[in-house]
Amino acid sequence: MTISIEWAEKYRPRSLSEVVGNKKAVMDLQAWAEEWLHGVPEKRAVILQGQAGIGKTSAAHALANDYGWEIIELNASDQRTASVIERVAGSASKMRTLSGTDSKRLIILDEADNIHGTSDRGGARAIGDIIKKTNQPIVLIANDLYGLTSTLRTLCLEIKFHGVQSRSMVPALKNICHNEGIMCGVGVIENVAENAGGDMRSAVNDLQAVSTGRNEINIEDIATSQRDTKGSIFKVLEQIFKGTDAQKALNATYGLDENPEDLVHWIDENLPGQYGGGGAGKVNVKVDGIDVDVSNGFEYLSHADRYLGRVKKRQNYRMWRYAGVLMTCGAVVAKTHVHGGFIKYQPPSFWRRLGQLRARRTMRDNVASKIGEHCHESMRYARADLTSMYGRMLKDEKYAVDTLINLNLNLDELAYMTGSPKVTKKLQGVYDQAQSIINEKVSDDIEFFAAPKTDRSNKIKSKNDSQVSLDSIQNIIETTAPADVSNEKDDAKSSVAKKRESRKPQKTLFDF
Amino acid sequence: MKTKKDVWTVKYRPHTLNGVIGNEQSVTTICQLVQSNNLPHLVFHGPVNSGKASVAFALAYELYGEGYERNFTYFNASDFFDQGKQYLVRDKRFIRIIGTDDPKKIRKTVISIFKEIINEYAGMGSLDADFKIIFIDNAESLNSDAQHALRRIMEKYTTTCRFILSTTQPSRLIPPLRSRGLQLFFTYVSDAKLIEYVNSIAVQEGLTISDDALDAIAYHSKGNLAKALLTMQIASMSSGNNEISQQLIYGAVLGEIPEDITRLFESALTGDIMAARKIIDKLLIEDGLSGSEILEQLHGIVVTSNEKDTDIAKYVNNIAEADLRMLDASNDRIQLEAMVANF
Repeated sequence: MTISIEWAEKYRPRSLSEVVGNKKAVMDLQAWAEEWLHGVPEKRAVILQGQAGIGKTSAAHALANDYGWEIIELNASDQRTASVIERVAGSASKMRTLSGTDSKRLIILDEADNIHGTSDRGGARAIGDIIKKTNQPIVLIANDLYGLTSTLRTLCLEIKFHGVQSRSMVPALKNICHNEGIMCGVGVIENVAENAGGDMRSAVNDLQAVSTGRNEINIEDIATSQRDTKGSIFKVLEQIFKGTDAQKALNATYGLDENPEDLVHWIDENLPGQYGGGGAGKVNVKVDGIDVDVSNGFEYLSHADRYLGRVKKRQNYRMWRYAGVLMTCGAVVAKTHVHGGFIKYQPPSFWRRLGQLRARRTMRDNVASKIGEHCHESMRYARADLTSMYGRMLKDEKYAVDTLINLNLNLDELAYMTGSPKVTKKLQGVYDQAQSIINEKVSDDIEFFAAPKTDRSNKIKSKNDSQVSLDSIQNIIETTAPADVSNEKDDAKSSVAKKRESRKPQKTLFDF
Repeated sequence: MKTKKDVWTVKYRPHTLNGVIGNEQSVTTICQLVQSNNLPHLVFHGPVNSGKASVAFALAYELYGEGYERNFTYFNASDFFDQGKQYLVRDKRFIRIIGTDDPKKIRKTVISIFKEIINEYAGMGSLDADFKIIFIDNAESLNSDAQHALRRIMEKYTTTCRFILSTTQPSRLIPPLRSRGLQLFFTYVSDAKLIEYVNSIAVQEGLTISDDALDAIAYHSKGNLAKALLTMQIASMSSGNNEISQQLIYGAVLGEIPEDITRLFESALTGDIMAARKIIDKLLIEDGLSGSEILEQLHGIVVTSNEKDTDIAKYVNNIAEADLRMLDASNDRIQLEAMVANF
């Protein structure tokens, strides 16, 4: 071997038949390509979707190779603004190839889920436009389907690639070893395949890494060069809950694509189920009716969570280090014995549910605000101490209409407060009644505003004489104030009084 | 727009200073100030429901008469600063300043909006009175920026506007603010006064209430008039005729305790973490309570429960610890679960 070349590149499949695994996906892709041979198919583009290193790009290139198509590729290393895409892919999609009428150009847009940001402005839309008009096949490649806009997804045929099973990797890896002239010990290939976690490319890279400078690989050689694969959260949870080695559990979390913020929810969700469950032949130690393992575990989680909070408040990500150790190692050491029994780890439900109920919470806060406004209390107090009372009153026939008028709720809020799932006829009746009364009152109010002065003075006259009202004081000052009392305050006062006469009462910011 | 039937605490809110129950000293002082027509800034201290807001409203009514809302504005600092922009768009008064009803479109910060609102309102003279009053309830929620902003505003606009700051935690107000106002203290009323007042309300509502029921109300509410009226109203609603017995009062008192909190306490006692988690999720998600609100209610139940005193001390210790941790924690749920697990 004279030139060192990456094996992953060297042994990239040249034909679709060489692609390892994903038989169904490859067949779908082939069927789509066949359609192109007889005119333009319904879906002019495909999306190849799946995790990294499982052969999406290889399949696309192999496809072009099999059919003898030219390849035009745009990937994340190119700038992909609308104009660039239009220039490269757009013109290619409309022109014929040099080599003949039957031949096509395959346009490959790699890492299509990463077209965003300011550098790729308008890229996603440009792709959509090109797909609609193209007369050349287009392949989009993406890790995350949801990184693509929904319009793009509807335009394309979706083909899903799955992780390559380790037993289908083994023959391909053996083949590589054979070609490179490397002798393998028992179980070496299998181990490399297993560690790759479905990622064919990383398996090949691993193999190359262990075999550099060797002609023979044994099982001991790979034990040390274990790749930190993107571990699955379930494996990590198993390390934490079933394992006894805190170090190992911590290392497992490093390979995980979750930050401590999310990991803590996974541990929190599954901790009581696991540690409260049956012990393998051992009885759980209980204090005050609760398993000590559970309470110790939560104690650690609670501390971990405090550091997460500090990260959030101070934006000091150094604290993540402590949070991570506390939640994983804490959960490992919290157990007095290994808990047996298979438990299916649940994804954290809390945040999902929080999202679902957001509308309901907004509704409740709106109602509480209205109650608070009416009672002159804070929304928080109204929510905690008054909503139940008002709910009761709205359910009570004697009170319902009046209460509704006071609070000025709408129909949905009324239904919410009375706890009925939808607006019933009875509620509608109450609401209509309240509305008609409100409308009457509004017309009264307008009259009141039209002649506020007379109304107001009448009311003041009718008030108890002993009460000192501001107006009467002012009247006294205005009539009795002699000229010699000419301090500033009185000046200001009389000017205010003049202003009052000259101006009509106008609505200020706080009158409504 | 007031109608006859309402929560009694609202319906029987005093309209005059004479109608205020208890707090004689503070009320007399205010009466004198009103008569001299020389009102300084005021700072009201006192526990929840001790009548701070009622006195402020009565004061405004005495000063300005029927249309007092023109010169008196109620401003809840807790809503303003706890909910921020969400609250601003909800309150129609502020639409002119923020000019949008979408909280995401508000470009200014909450504190700058606060300054703008107070400045505009305080700076504009009254049309038909010497000065306006701005009543800031729950002033302890004002953050320190807002409090420092108020310092200058309060001085600058003394001629046009008087401030009344009302708070349950005077120590949360910065000293310069406290020193700018006349400090008045409010407390709960005595049992005798409470019974007399509750009885008079019962008469006005056409109810007959037995003496032992009145005692029960007094015992339960401990001088908190709002609580007493709320209890009596709940009892009256569950009573078929217009008689209120001691039994009904007890029923009403029990009914006031949220059922979920009681169940949370029970499952914490038995150590049933899964049941506790369900309740915690419901309280946090569906009822939208914050962790510390849940602890506050739980605390109320624990101290009045029939457990041994030593146990109660232990439980309160746990609750306090959880509450302390929540100050810098990021997930209330985890803290609550940890508390239940170590209860």
